[in-house]
Amino acid sequence: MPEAMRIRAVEKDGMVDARVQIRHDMESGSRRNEAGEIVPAWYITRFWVQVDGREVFSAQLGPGVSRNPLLHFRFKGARKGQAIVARWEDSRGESREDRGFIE
Amino acid sequence: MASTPDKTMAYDASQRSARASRSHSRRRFLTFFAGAGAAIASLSIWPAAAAGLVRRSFEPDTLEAALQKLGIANAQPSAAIQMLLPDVAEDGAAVQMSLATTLPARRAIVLVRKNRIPLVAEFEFPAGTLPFVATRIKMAEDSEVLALVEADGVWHSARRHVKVTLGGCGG
Repeated sequence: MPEAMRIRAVEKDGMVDARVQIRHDMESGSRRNEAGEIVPAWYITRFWVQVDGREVFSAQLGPGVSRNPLLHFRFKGARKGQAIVARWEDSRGESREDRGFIE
Repeated sequence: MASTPDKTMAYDASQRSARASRSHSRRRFLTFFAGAGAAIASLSIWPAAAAGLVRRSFEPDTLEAALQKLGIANAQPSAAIQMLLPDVAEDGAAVQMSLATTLPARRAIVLVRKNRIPLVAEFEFPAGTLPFVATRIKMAEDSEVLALVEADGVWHSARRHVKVTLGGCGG
């Protein structure tokens, strides 16, 4: 089962500074394991973030994003205490959704 | 019978959501209902977010071919894009990168010329979100990193060269 994301979002002067750490190996498809076999590609493809049903950030990621991707972004129009919801989907169709709160 | 597929879908989704949200079995009963709420919200909200999305494919390519597939032939070099990258990256598996622009950009794309798969990511900045993103990228070897931002329907570009001490199996 995929591990939970870590979501930290801090509002200051109307601007929210948000960091989401995803737990994912982001296998590129070119790495070899100890036995010398190619490890198949397996990476996050889509990432979305919403506050109150409003999309505040999204991305399409490829295997060129590092293992355990950390996304840092900034948005306006949200306040302390509001829920921030992040969701990802990967190249195997697995997905995960987690919630944090704006501090 | 008309409602059956919907019920099935909601059930499957809530199961998935419940599994994803907590692992403690003693909380399974509560989690199921909490998950059901989240799943209904998901089904109604998330697909809307994907509307109008052009799906990018991440394939082995030259930088030029990747740009062609993106449909970006003539990006204008711009001093209004700030790329923060190290001059020398010790570990190519995780190179810290940030990108910001004073242009009214709604999307940005990052590519690494020498990676097997040059396209790294595309970021979207909805209204109210700053055209800024920071993340860590993989770099197989010394390479140019190319940032593209779209503002008012025009693509702008900036480039930085990064030396990589230890290559990071670069995508």
